[in-house]
Amino acid sequence: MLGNTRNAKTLILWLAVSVILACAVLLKLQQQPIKFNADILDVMEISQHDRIVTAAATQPFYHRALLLFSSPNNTLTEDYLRRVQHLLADIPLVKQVYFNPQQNMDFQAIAKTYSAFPLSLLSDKALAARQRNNVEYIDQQYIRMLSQLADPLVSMTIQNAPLLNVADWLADKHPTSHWLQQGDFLYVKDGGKRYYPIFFEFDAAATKLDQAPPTIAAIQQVLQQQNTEDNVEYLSSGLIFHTAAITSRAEFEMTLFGGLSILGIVLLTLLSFKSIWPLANILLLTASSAAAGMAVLILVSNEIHLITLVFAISLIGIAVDYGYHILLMARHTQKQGSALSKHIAPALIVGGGSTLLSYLLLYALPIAFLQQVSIFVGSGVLFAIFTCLTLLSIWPGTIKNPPLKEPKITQLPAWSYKLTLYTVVIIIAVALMQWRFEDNIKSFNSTPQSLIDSETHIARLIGNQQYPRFISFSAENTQQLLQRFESVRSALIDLGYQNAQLQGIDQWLPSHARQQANADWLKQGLVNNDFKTINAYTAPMVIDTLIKQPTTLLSLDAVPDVIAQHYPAIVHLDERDYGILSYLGVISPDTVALLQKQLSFPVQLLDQPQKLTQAMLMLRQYILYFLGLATCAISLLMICRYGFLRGLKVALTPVLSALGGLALAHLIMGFVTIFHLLASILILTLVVDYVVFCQEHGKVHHVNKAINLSAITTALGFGMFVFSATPAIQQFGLTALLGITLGWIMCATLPTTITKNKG
Amino acid sequence: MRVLIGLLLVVCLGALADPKPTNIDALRQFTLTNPVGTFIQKKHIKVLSQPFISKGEYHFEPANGLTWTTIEPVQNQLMINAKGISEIQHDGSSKLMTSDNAISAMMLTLFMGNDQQLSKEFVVEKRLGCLALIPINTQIKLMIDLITFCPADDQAVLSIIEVGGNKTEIQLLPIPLIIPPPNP
Repeated sequence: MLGNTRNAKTLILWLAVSVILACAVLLKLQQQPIKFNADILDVMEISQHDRIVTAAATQPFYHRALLLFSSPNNTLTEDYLRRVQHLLADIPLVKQVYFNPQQNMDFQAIAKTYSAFPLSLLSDKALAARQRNNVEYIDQQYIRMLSQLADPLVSMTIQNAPLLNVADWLADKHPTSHWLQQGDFLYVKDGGKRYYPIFFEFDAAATKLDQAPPTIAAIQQVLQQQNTEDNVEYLSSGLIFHTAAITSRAEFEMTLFGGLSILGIVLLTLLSFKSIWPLANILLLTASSAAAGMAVLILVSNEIHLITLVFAISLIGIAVDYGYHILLMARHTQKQGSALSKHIAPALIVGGGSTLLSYLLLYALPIAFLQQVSIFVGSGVLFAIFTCLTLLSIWPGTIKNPPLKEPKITQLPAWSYKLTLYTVVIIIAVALMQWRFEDNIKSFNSTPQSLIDSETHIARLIGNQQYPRFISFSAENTQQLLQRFESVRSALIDLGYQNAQLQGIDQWLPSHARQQANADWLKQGLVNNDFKTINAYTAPMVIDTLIKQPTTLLSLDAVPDVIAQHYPAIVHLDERDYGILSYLGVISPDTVALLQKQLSFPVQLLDQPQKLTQAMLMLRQYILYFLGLATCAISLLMICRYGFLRGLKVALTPVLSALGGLALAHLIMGFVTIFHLLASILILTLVVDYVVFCQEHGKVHHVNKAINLSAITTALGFGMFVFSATPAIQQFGLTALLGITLGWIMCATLPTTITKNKG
Repeated sequence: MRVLIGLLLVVCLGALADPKPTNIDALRQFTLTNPVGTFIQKKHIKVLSQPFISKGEYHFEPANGLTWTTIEPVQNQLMINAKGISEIQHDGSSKLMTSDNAISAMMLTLFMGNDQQLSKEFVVEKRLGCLALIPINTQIKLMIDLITFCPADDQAVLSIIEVGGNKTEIQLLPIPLIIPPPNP
């Protein structure tokens, strides 16, 4: 075979293209290593502003997690907890593991920081007293605090803030919670059981799709080893557990079903050709196409979305389809080399061209990951055609068999096509009558029930502290923003919300306006000798200093990091400052509307699921535009190739298959999502190939066989996904299975009046 | 902070258990037999021109917990039980101040006869007829240097020496405090 100079040249050409591609990729990787982006938010069209503000809001919460340990007989030992803490702390991307969220707080340092502002800070009650000019409150609170059995805050602050208003203010900040304490350990009691928490703080990278599973797997391994010995049970709470569970399951399913799909292809190919060479060719074709797609993607992109690769799996189905056609064609015609490539080129170019055109249209959409799908599949299809016309043409591995006498095709009656057509149209019409697009991000939630149960249990035990709601607002500068914090907080309290559950940096940083008013009021009280007890116990010189020294005002940069990190940061964006107030509970849009009525500036509920739902809606609309354009492009291409009427009839099969697949999926599931639509792209491109081959070579046995093989492998391969527990994968698989089956039936019943029957 | 209060109460109540306690068990024993008394608290704080004195009563009932009532110079009542520390309001209702402390658990553990928990928080030593409690707990260690309990014939003195040098002395007397009613 290689003796043939022409074939040798073709082989060299294929190798040259492959080597050039490989070298280019290596060169690119040397200059700039490729980054894989696993952040699901980055594939959504969410505004930069929303993304930054949402990230700031969620930052204090999303990188944290919680485990609650219990043992059936309450024999959980401190030794066990310390041992587990030690082992967990060694896991990569785990930043901190601790028993008490406040254990890292240096209260003395905090007290010292705030005591430097001796007149600026007033507790909520003292503030209310100031507003009523109730000067007695300060004196009474002074007596009350000194009368306490022991209050370290008094000792820590009284030196610099002798009115004890700072001690009072700091005491106000102590959060109420459900925890009880046993030495260094906290616990909560329920049903006679004690639950001991271990708190986690992760590196930001840990919550990414690619890092969450190994991090959680390492945690689970530690727990499994330790818990077996000590018979300990645990509950978990935290975004990272959900991310890891969902990603691991999706990966497992993709591997399982992908593996089964490949196994199906291998078995079918072996069964059909009864030789290893065609199988090797099919595998070479799919692998080289995927590699070429990846290579081009690496060359043109600096960052690849992992989700691109999930959807780019369609390429395998398309490449396998081309492979079957060329191998069966070679066997049937006993042609090889340029003769074979010339014979199959028109069908491949028209079919592949339609596919290529469809995927190139995807590039026109302003969604980065869809553009990457377009590049990957487009390049892969191009390379698959190139490999078919070069390598597989000169080395099909199927011509050693004796020429086959093509069995006669039993032409199905013309009414069978009409029956299929009308049935599909009726299915589409019925589905259209109740058509509903589902964009709600919650419908794609595939969190395992055990994790949801665990979250619910923890929420019941310790209150809903893990997933707060956020309200954001902006101002021209930090001081105006802090005043707005105070207004929003006050308005929410008026609406019945609990102050303690409204978390914001303003709790530790009153506005300068408020601080100045506090200081003025206290100074006036000192000047007027309103605080009798304080004056009796404090040296006159100290009082005099307080009155005469200029008021010091607390600013953002003075707030200790150990405190600031627990609250959403103030975001400076587009010449404005954005503040975020979080609430550990539910805030409905109606509440926000009521809140808005009380305020003179706009507030916004940062609802990430809502934002994602909107992004999904937009993405779905783009996919719909694309599908419309792809349908038009395929129709035009078919019209150009086969004439107007026949071209339209040819185009009808893939379009109806895709629509029928969607309609059937809708009738089964009750709605259609973006993942159903993405599957319909695959249906469209594959069924176009089927009808084009029927047109180009007629409904002959080897064409039918190639279509059968392709349809069976694709339908089974993607159809396996219907067993997936991940909604997105299941929706994709169901639509692909139904659509490809419909396309296959329609091709099988295509009358010769539509096809060019060479049989 | 309130961990300290609870621990102090544990020690205070225990202190009255036996005029010459030799161990924590003896303190607990007295608490069970003589659970009512008075206290006089003196705060020696460097910045104050004179010690700050307060007086009041304590009352312990195993079923309801401990009531710590300050009568002078301001009236204030704390209830300590398994739920945490509550401040008794003017209308008789109680407001939970915080529950994230070991007080109730420690107290109940102690009174139920399990003194191991107290030993986990402190190194317990005997010094010149007094019981010395040296904090082990990291958070408490940041604030408290030493707690001593010194019993005498008819009273006991509890001293809390803070890290900064401030000192609180609580004199415990197993008799009711007689305070003249305020002038009408």
